[in-house]
Amino acid sequence: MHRIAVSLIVHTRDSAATLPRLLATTSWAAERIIVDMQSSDATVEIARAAGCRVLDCAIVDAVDAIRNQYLPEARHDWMLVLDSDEYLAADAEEALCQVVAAHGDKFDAFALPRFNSVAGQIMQGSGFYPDHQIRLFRKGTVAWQQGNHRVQQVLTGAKRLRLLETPDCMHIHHENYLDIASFVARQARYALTDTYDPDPGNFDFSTYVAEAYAEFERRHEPSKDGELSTAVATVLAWDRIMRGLIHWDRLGRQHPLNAAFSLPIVPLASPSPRLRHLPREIGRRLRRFLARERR
Amino acid sequence: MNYYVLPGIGIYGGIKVGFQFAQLLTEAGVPIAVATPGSLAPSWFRCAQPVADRQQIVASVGKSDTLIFSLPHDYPELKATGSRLIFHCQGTDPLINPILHDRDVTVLTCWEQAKNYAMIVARRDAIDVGISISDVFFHDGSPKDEQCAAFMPRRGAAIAQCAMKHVRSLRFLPIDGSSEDICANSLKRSGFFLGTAVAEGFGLPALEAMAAGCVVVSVPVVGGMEYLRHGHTACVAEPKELPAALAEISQQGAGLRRAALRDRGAAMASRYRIAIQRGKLRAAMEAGLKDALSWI
Amino acid sequence: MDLSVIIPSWGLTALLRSCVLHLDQALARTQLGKACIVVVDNGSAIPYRPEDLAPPHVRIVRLDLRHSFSAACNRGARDVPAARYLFLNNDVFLHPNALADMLGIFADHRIGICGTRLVLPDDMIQHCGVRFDAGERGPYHQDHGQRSARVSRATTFPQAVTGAAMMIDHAAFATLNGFDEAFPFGYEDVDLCLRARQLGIRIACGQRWDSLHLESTSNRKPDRHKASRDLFFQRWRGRYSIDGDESG
Repeated sequence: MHRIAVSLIVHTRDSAATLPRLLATTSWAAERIIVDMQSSDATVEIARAAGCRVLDCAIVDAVDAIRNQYLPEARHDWMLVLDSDEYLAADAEEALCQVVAAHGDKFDAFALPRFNSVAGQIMQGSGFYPDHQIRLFRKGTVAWQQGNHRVQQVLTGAKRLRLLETPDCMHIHHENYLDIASFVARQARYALTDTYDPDPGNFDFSTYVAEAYAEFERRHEPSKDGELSTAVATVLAWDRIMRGLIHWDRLGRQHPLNAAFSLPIVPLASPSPRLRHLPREIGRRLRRFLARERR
Repeated sequence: MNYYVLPGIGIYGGIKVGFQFAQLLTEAGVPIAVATPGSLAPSWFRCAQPVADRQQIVASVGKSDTLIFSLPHDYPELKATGSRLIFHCQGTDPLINPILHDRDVTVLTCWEQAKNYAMIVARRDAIDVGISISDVFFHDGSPKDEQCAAFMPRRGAAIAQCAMKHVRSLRFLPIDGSSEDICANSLKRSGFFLGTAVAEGFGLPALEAMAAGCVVVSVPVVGGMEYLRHGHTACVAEPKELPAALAEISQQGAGLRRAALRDRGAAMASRYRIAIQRGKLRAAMEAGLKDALSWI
Repeated sequence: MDLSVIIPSWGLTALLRSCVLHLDQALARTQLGKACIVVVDNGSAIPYRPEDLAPPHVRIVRLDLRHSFSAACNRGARDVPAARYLFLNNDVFLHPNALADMLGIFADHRIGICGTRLVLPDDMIQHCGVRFDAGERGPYHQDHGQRSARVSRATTFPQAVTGAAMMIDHAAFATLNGFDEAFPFGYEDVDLCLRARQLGIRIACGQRWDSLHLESTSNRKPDRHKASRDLFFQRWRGRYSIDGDESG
């Protein structure tokens, strides 16, 4: 295997619980940089003990806003960016080297599929898989946009980006949410800390409603993930509504919110079997009554 | 001054679409009124557009005015006024071909099939202004009855009758000749909508039914196949197969499939929100519509 | 003259004085160059005197006969032509920021007529735009009786606004030949607005500030609107778009 020197960058904040596993699965990286946001737990000690270069930074709400300024810290041509609650498989180095060897001349960036688990279940669909993330790239070819979880930009053009095709390829592994409650809490935090267009002329609540329906449709795959799919689809659809309301609030609550919404659309249960047979019962009693009258 | 010229105010989709488009232009700051016979205003849907007398307008407009029309039969009369003309294409038919070939007429289309038609027939790059559904149709939490199928008897009654005979487990609710509010309420409470109008132009009722959360079972339409996708947002079947398709999707074991169709149908209908069309109109203004209008 | 404020008034001197004082305060908060207040004394039993009304720049146009609201307004506009007119009822006490808001809406949007939100003494909405219902109801005040704090403050673009506080461009007013004097009492404002919209003139209503409207303080006869209403429906029945009722 032709080894590729890779610079790994990880942003951390109080990540002592999850960082060890990430570090254990990336020890092959030529360089590991931890950008730490004032952790108050053992994050920094863990990182230093593993031989990582630790950089301090101020606390920010949205880490994507500061990623770009630390990318130049990498010394090697190829970079891998992971979140502190992610990790890789045991054969990640081999898989990565194969990808770069086979395609590194024609592509500058690779979107890696990601396994996500919610409430202990690894999601097979519902927008959570394959969930490609642009995380492996040549230095200087990728930039993050402002806001929470916005898509990165491949600066050398979309044609220089390759999506790794599942199933037989390198994955990122991610344990997202222990339960639905923590999923809801995190979505709320992202919504509250995101940036919103300050121009009131551009606000229309019904566009958020349209996004909510689109999100629910995209995510709802009970055939793949069962009831959990319905739960996450509903949370993420309502996330769009919440963002619309936060945006509305920040603009001074002046705009009308006259947009109907109801997610998901669920029909009533069928009428009770007793009611369905009611006409027959009435007929039976009527015949008995008439028979009595004739006697 | 700009006028959207209509032949009447009867219960036809083209009338509503015309008024809605004029209203969006008004909201965009365009001075425009709708010209109808006797300056009568429709009362079967909600709108805030001013109306003026068509006969008076046609007699008095000139070079500095702009007339928007959608009925091909109006073209000769309006052309003779000498005003600038904008054709708001609401259906593709050989009748519109002379209009498409007239380079003095600005052509607007509402859906992709019509835009393609203009290109194929006359090499016209029409301006896409989109189309939208009134907000009143979007589902609002009304209790929905899965045993109820709404349909429009005016368009394809024979097909609906076959469906009624074939699928006895459902109740069939005719919605026709009613105001938009009443139609919307009926659709929001219905589990299914039968689209039975063969060779319909766009098929706005089926899209409205999707917005209302109905499972749509429809015959194919001409222009609306961009939203009517078999197995994805609706069940699409030829007229003779429609009763069987309804029977199949309404059976007890098809609950998950119905839920999926409802979700995707509602998401599809959301792309036709008025707010989305406003965005398209802004783009259309930049693409040449602004220059075709009159600004007093 | 940048703005002429025309207040047709009959009696009720103390009420008129308060109206003018509030108006003066609102004018002071605008960037207007020259503004004039024109009180049209519409046949008051005792004619108004300038000293009754306090601000020195109030002009009184005395009419010995009682004219219709529309005729009194038109007379006042003819007396002091201006780039813009504000027609104001004597029982409307403008919020200090209301005029600046209306002028701002003219500047920001392509409109010819602007109204403003009016509330009753208990903070319920009296006017925030006029909508049209089907049938015999016709034009009605949107959200009438709703608590003002609950109704959106975004500027609206209704089909009509009340003449109790209506600002209109000179060009629009002249093109429309002013209010139609055939209306004896009421509905002349709705008629004006519908005619304006037929010419492509857009109408807005400012919602940010609540001005007080004591409503029909001067004429409380129960059938006072009947003749005007009959004329309105004769002219406009079936000719205005229906844009809703209170439930939607």
